[in-house]
Amino acid sequence: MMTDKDNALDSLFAEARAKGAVPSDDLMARVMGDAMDAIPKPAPVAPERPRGFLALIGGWPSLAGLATATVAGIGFGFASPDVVTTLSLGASYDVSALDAGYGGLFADDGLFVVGEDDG
Amino acid sequence: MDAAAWAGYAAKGMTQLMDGSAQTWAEASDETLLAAYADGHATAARVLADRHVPRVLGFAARTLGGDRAEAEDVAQEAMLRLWKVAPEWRAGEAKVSTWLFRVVSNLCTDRLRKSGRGVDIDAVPEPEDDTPSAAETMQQATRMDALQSALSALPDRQRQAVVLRHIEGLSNPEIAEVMDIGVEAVESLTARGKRKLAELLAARKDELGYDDD
Repeated sequence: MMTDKDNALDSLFAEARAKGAVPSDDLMARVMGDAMDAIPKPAPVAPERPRGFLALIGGWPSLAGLATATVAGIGFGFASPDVVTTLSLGASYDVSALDAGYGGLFADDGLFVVGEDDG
Repeated sequence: MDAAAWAGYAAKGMTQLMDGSAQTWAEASDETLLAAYADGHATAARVLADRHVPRVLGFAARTLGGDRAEAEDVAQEAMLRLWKVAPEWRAGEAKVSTWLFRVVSNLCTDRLRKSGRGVDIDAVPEPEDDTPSAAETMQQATRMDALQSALSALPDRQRQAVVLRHIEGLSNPEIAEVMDIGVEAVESLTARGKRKLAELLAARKDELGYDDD
Protein backbone atom coordinates (compact mmCIF):
# COMPACT_ATOMS: atom_id res chain seq x y z
CA MET A 1 0.00 0.00 0.00
CA MET A 2 1.37 3.38 -0.98
CA THR A 3 2.07 5.72 1.90
CA ASP A 4 2.73 9.41 1.92
CA LYS A 5 6.41 8.58 2.29
CA ASP A 6 6.27 6.44 -0.83
CA ASN A 7 4.42 9.11 -2.72
CA ALA A 8 6.90 11.74 -1.68
CA LEU A 9 9.81 9.54 -2.63
CA ASP A 10 8.30 8.71 -6.00
CA SER A 11 7.79 12.41 -6.60
CA LEU A 12 11.43 13.03 -5.82
CA PHE A 13 12.49 10.25 -8.17
CA ALA A 14 10.33 11.68 -10.93
CA GLU A 15 11.80 15.10 -10.34
CA ALA A 16 15.33 13.73 -10.50
CA ARG A 17 14.49 11.75 -13.63
CA ALA A 18 13.02 14.79 -15.35
CA LYS A 19 15.93 16.99 -14.40
CA GLY A 20 18.58 14.62 -15.67
CA ALA A 21 22.25 15.39 -15.95
CA VAL A 22 23.50 17.94 -18.43
CA PRO A 23 27.03 17.16 -19.61
CA SER A 24 29.36 20.11 -19.85
CA ASP A 25 30.71 21.18 -23.22
CA ASP A 26 34.14 20.18 -21.98
CA LEU A 27 33.01 16.63 -21.23
CA MET A 28 31.33 16.26 -24.62
CA ALA A 29 34.48 17.57 -26.30
CA ARG A 30 36.59 15.02 -24.41
CA VAL A 31 34.21 12.21 -25.28
CA MET A 32 34.19 13.14 -28.97
CA GLY A 33 37.95 13.56 -28.92
CA ASP A 34 38.26 10.01 -27.67
CA ALA A 35 35.79 8.87 -30.31
CA MET A 36 37.86 10.42 -33.08
CA ASP A 37 41.08 8.98 -31.70
CA ALA A 38 39.58 5.51 -31.50
CA ILE A 39 37.55 5.59 -34.70
CA PRO A 40 38.43 2.58 -36.81
CA LYS A 41 40.43 3.55 -39.86
CA PRO A 42 39.42 2.14 -43.22
CA ALA A 43 41.76 -0.54 -44.47
CA PRO A 44 44.49 1.04 -46.62
CA VAL A 45 43.82 0.66 -50.30
CA ALA A 46 46.80 -0.47 -52.35
CA PRO A 47 47.70 2.07 -55.05
CA GLU A 48 46.46 0.94 -58.39
CA ARG A 49 49.25 -0.26 -60.60
CA PRO A 50 49.45 0.99 -64.13
CA ARG A 51 47.81 -1.44 -66.43
CA GLY A 52 49.68 -2.26 -69.61
CA PHE A 53 51.75 -4.93 -71.20
CA LEU A 54 53.13 -6.06 -67.86
CA ALA A 55 49.64 -6.47 -66.44
CA LEU A 56 48.56 -8.41 -69.50
CA ILE A 57 51.26 -11.01 -69.09
CA GLY A 58 50.73 -11.34 -65.37
CA GLY A 59 53.11 -8.83 -63.82
CA TRP A 60 56.73 -9.05 -62.74
CA PRO A 61 56.73 -12.76 -61.80
CA SER A 62 55.65 -13.69 -65.31
CA LEU A 63 58.28 -11.38 -66.76
CA ALA A 64 60.96 -13.15 -64.75
CA GLY A 65 59.79 -16.51 -66.11
CA LEU A 66 59.78 -15.10 -69.60
CA ALA A 67 63.34 -13.84 -69.22
CA THR A 68 64.52 -17.22 -67.97
CA ALA A 69 62.91 -19.01 -70.90
CA THR A 70 64.47 -16.52 -73.31
CA VAL A 71 67.96 -17.04 -71.95
CA ALA A 72 67.50 -20.82 -72.02
CA GLY A 73 66.30 -20.65 -75.63
CA ILE A 74 69.31 -18.62 -76.70
CA GLY A 75 71.54 -21.10 -74.89
CA PHE A 76 70.01 -24.02 -76.72
CA GLY A 77 70.38 -22.12 -79.99
CA PHE A 78 74.12 -21.82 -79.55
CA ALA A 79 74.64 -25.24 -78.10
CA SER A 80 75.99 -28.08 -80.22
CA PRO A 81 73.78 -31.09 -81.19
CA ASP A 82 75.86 -33.14 -78.80
CA VAL A 83 74.61 -31.10 -75.95
CA VAL A 84 71.04 -31.62 -77.04
CA THR A 85 71.68 -35.34 -77.36
CA THR A 86 73.15 -35.37 -73.90
CA LEU A 87 70.16 -33.56 -72.55
CA SER A 88 67.85 -36.13 -74.15
CA LEU A 89 69.67 -38.99 -72.43
CA GLY A 90 71.38 -40.16 -75.54
CA ALA A 91 68.23 -40.64 -77.59
CA SER A 92 67.80 -38.91 -80.90
CA TYR A 93 64.69 -38.47 -82.86
CA ASP A 94 64.10 -38.95 -86.54
CA VAL A 95 61.78 -36.21 -87.57
CA SER A 96 62.16 -36.91 -91.29
CA ALA A 97 58.79 -38.63 -91.27
CA LEU A 98 57.23 -35.26 -90.77
CA ASP A 99 58.30 -34.46 -94.29
CA ALA A 100 56.00 -37.17 -95.52
CA GLY A 101 53.10 -35.10 -94.55
CA TYR A 102 50.23 -35.84 -92.32
CA GLY A 103 49.88 -39.48 -93.40
CA GLY A 104 53.42 -40.18 -92.31
CA LEU A 105 52.29 -39.94 -88.75
CA PHE A 106 50.76 -43.38 -89.07
CA ALA A 107 53.54 -45.10 -90.99
CA ASP A 108 55.10 -48.13 -89.34
CA ASP A 109 58.52 -46.63 -89.50
CA GLY A 110 57.30 -43.11 -89.22
CA LEU A 111 57.22 -40.60 -86.45
CA PHE A 112 59.15 -40.91 -83.22
CA VAL A 113 61.24 -43.82 -84.21
CA VAL A 114 64.08 -43.92 -81.83
CA GLY A 115 67.13 -43.69 -84.01
CA GLU A 116 69.65 -45.51 -81.85
CA ASP A 117 69.84 -48.53 -84.18
CA ASP A 118 68.28 -47.17 -87.33
CA GLY A 119 71.59 -46.12 -88.72
CA MET B 1 24.11 -5.96 -36.30
CA ASP B 2 20.78 -4.63 -37.49
CA ALA B 3 21.66 -5.60 -41.03
CA ALA B 4 18.46 -4.43 -42.67
CA ALA B 5 18.53 -1.08 -40.95
CA TRP B 6 22.19 -0.60 -41.70
CA ALA B 7 21.69 -1.48 -45.34
CA GLY B 8 18.86 1.01 -45.54
CA TYR B 9 20.88 3.78 -43.98
CA ALA B 10 23.86 2.90 -46.05
CA ALA B 11 21.74 3.28 -49.15
CA LYS B 12 19.89 6.47 -48.35
CA GLY B 13 21.58 8.08 -45.41
CA MET B 14 25.27 7.89 -46.11
CA THR B 15 25.39 11.25 -47.81
CA GLN B 16 23.61 12.87 -44.92
CA LEU B 17 25.94 11.14 -42.51
CA MET B 18 29.02 12.25 -44.31
CA ASP B 19 27.94 15.86 -44.56
CA GLY B 20 27.39 15.97 -40.83
CA SER B 21 23.62 15.79 -40.64
CA ALA B 22 22.49 13.81 -37.66
CA GLN B 23 18.80 13.96 -38.46
CA THR B 24 18.67 10.62 -40.20
CA TRP B 25 20.86 8.96 -37.63
CA ALA B 26 18.95 10.28 -34.66
CA GLU B 27 16.31 7.70 -35.50
CA ALA B 28 18.77 4.84 -35.80
CA SER B 29 19.14 2.20 -33.13
CA ASP B 30 22.18 2.18 -30.90
CA GLU B 31 23.48 -0.93 -32.62
CA THR B 32 23.12 0.65 -36.03
CA LEU B 33 24.97 3.73 -34.87
CA LEU B 34 27.71 1.66 -33.30
CA ALA B 35 28.15 -0.27 -36.53
CA ALA B 36 28.30 2.98 -38.46
CA TYR B 37 30.94 4.30 -36.08
CA ALA B 38 32.91 1.09 -36.52
CA ASP B 39 32.75 1.79 -40.25
CA GLY B 40 34.43 5.13 -39.62
CA HIS B 41 31.49 7.54 -39.44
CA ALA B 42 32.01 10.25 -36.85
CA THR B 43 28.46 11.55 -36.81
CA ALA B 44 27.25 8.22 -35.49
CA ALA B 45 29.54 8.71 -32.50
CA ARG B 46 28.11 12.16 -31.91
CA VAL B 47 24.55 10.82 -31.85
CA LEU B 48 25.55 8.02 -29.50
CA ALA B 49 27.29 10.48 -27.20
CA ASP B 50 24.31 12.84 -27.15
CA ARG B 51 22.06 9.92 -26.38
CA HIS B 52 24.05 8.22 -23.65
CA VAL B 53 26.47 10.62 -21.95
CA PRO B 54 23.73 12.41 -19.94
CA ARG B 55 22.39 9.16 -18.52
CA VAL B 56 25.84 7.71 -17.91
CA LEU B 57 26.93 10.92 -16.23
CA GLY B 58 23.83 11.08 -14.05
CA PHE B 59 24.20 7.50 -12.93
CA ALA B 60 27.89 7.96 -12.17
CA ALA B 61 27.30 11.19 -10.25
CA ARG B 62 24.62 9.68 -8.08
CA THR B 63 26.61 6.51 -7.50
CA LEU B 64 29.71 8.48 -6.56
CA GLY B 65 27.83 10.66 -4.12
CA GLY B 66 27.53 13.71 -6.27
CA ASP B 67 31.19 14.19 -7.19
CA ARG B 68 30.74 15.84 -10.57
CA ALA B 69 34.37 15.86 -11.71
CA GLU B 70 34.86 12.22 -10.85
CA ALA B 71 31.56 11.34 -12.50
CA GLU B 72 32.70 13.07 -15.68
CA ASP B 73 35.90 11.03 -15.67
CA VAL B 74 33.88 7.85 -15.29
CA ALA B 75 31.49 8.86 -18.07
CA GLN B 76 34.38 9.62 -20.39
CA GLU B 77 36.06 6.31 -19.59
CA ALA B 78 32.84 4.37 -20.15
CA MET B 79 32.29 6.00 -23.53
CA LEU B 80 35.92 5.38 -24.49
CA ARG B 81 35.42 1.70 -23.78
CA LEU B 82 32.34 1.78 -25.99
CA TRP B 83 34.34 3.31 -28.85
CA LYS B 84 37.00 0.66 -28.49
CA VAL B 85 34.59 -2.25 -28.37
CA ALA B 86 32.58 -1.01 -31.37
CA PRO B 87 34.38 -3.08 -34.05
CA GLU B 88 33.80 -6.28 -32.07
CA TRP B 89 30.27 -5.46 -30.94
CA ARG B 90 28.00 -8.43 -31.42
CA ALA B 91 24.41 -7.53 -32.02
CA GLY B 92 21.76 -9.00 -29.81
CA GLU B 93 24.03 -9.84 -26.90
CA ALA B 94 23.42 -6.70 -24.91
CA LYS B 95 21.78 -3.33 -25.18
CA VAL B 96 24.27 -0.52 -25.51
CA SER B 97 22.66 1.33 -22.61
CA THR B 98 22.78 -1.72 -20.36
CA TRP B 99 26.39 -2.35 -21.33
CA LEU B 100 27.32 1.25 -20.52
CA PHE B 101 25.56 1.18 -17.16
CA ARG B 102 27.43 -1.99 -16.34
CA VAL B 103 30.77 -0.39 -17.18
CA VAL B 104 29.88 2.66 -15.10
CA SER B 105 28.78 0.46 -12.23
CA ASN B 106 32.10 -1.37 -12.22
CA LEU B 107 34.15 1.81 -12.57
CA CYS B 108 32.28 3.45 -9.72
CA THR B 109 32.59 0.40 -7.51
CA ASP B 110 36.35 0.35 -8.13
CA ARG B 111 36.71 4.02 -7.32
CA LEU B 112 34.60 3.78 -4.19
CA ARG B 113 36.58 0.78 -3.03
CA LYS B 114 39.97 2.38 -3.67
CA SER B 115 39.00 5.59 -1.96
CA GLY B 116 37.63 3.76 1.03
CA ARG B 117 34.16 5.06 0.42
CA GLY B 118 32.90 1.66 -0.60
CA VAL B 119 30.89 -0.11 2.03
CA ASP B 120 30.12 -3.76 2.49
CA ILE B 121 26.42 -4.07 1.99
CA ASP B 122 25.97 -6.50 4.86
CA ALA B 123 28.02 -4.41 7.28
CA VAL B 124 26.14 -1.20 6.83
CA PRO B 125 24.28 0.03 9.87
CA GLU B 126 20.90 1.54 9.41
CA PRO B 127 21.45 5.15 8.39
CA GLU B 128 21.00 7.66 11.14
CA ASP B 129 18.96 10.69 10.37
CA ASP B 130 20.11 12.81 13.25
CA THR B 131 23.75 13.18 12.34
CA PRO B 132 25.10 16.71 12.15
CA SER B 133 25.73 16.46 8.42
CA ALA B 134 22.17 15.33 7.82
CA ALA B 135 20.87 18.22 9.88
CA GLU B 136 23.05 20.72 8.08
CA THR B 137 22.01 19.34 4.72
CA MET B 138 18.39 19.52 5.76
CA GLN B 139 18.72 23.20 6.32
CA GLN B 140 20.72 24.10 3.24
CA ALA B 141 20.12 21.70 0.46
CA THR B 142 17.55 21.75 -2.25
CA ARG B 143 15.21 18.86 -2.79
CA MET B 144 17.61 17.22 -5.18
CA ASP B 145 20.47 17.72 -2.82
CA ALA B 146 18.41 16.08 -0.11
CA LEU B 147 17.72 13.14 -2.35
CA GLN B 148 21.36 12.82 -3.30
CA SER B 149 22.39 13.03 0.29
CA ALA B 150 20.00 10.26 1.20
CA LEU B 151 21.15 8.17 -1.71
CA SER B 152 24.74 8.62 -0.63
CA ALA B 153 23.89 7.21 2.74
CA LEU B 154 22.86 3.92 1.18
CA PRO B 155 25.29 1.07 0.65
CA ASP B 156 26.82 1.20 -2.80
CA ARG B 157 24.85 -1.66 -4.27
CA GLN B 158 21.55 -0.47 -2.88
CA ARG B 159 22.25 2.99 -4.19
CA GLN B 160 23.06 1.68 -7.65
CA ALA B 161 19.97 -0.50 -7.77
CA VAL B 162 17.69 2.30 -6.58
CA VAL B 163 19.12 4.83 -9.04
CA LEU B 164 18.90 2.41 -11.94
CA ARG B 165 15.35 1.38 -11.07
CA HIS B 166 13.72 4.60 -9.96
CA ILE B 167 15.68 7.34 -11.70
CA GLU B 168 17.12 5.74 -14.84
CA GLY B 169 14.01 3.61 -15.29
CA LEU B 170 15.64 0.27 -16.01
CA SER B 171 13.68 -2.92 -15.53
CA ASN B 172 14.70 -5.39 -12.87
CA PRO B 173 16.12 -7.88 -15.42
CA GLU B 174 18.18 -5.06 -16.94
CA ILE B 175 19.49 -4.06 -13.53
CA ALA B 176 20.32 -7.70 -12.86
CA GLU B 177 22.43 -7.69 -16.02
CA VAL B 178 24.11 -4.42 -15.15
CA MET B 179 24.98 -5.50 -11.62
CA ASP B 180 25.60 -9.14 -12.48
CA ILE B 181 23.16 -10.44 -9.91
CA GLY B 182 19.82 -12.21 -9.95
CA VAL B 183 16.49 -10.50 -10.39
CA GLU B 184 15.46 -11.46 -6.85
CA ALA B 185 18.57 -9.79 -5.50
CA VAL B 186 17.66 -6.67 -7.44
CA GLU B 187 14.18 -6.68 -5.96
CA SER B 188 15.65 -7.04 -2.49
CA LEU B 189 18.17 -4.25 -3.01
CA THR B 190 15.64 -1.81 -4.41
CA ALA B 191 13.07 -2.58 -1.72
CA ARG B 192 15.58 -2.16 1.10
CA GLY B 193 17.09 0.89 -0.49
CA LYS B 194 13.79 2.58 -1.03
CA ARG B 195 12.72 1.83 2.52
CA LYS B 196 15.87 3.38 3.91
CA LEU B 197 15.52 6.39 1.67
CA ALA B 198 12.00 6.92 2.91
CA GLU B 199 13.21 6.78 6.48
CA LEU B 200 16.02 9.22 5.79
CA LEU B 201 13.85 11.67 3.95
CA ALA B 202 11.06 11.51 6.50
CA ALA B 203 13.25 13.57 8.74
CA ARG B 204 13.16 16.30 6.14
CA LYS B 205 9.45 16.33 5.48
CA ASP B 206 9.19 20.08 5.84
CA GLU B 207 11.91 20.62 3.34
CA LEU B 208 10.48 18.06 0.95
CA GLY B 209 6.95 19.25 1.37
CA TYR B 210 4.97 16.20 2.39
CA ASP B 211 3.02 15.27 5.46
CA ASP B 212 3.99 12.42 7.68
CA ASP B 213 0.43 11.53 8.61
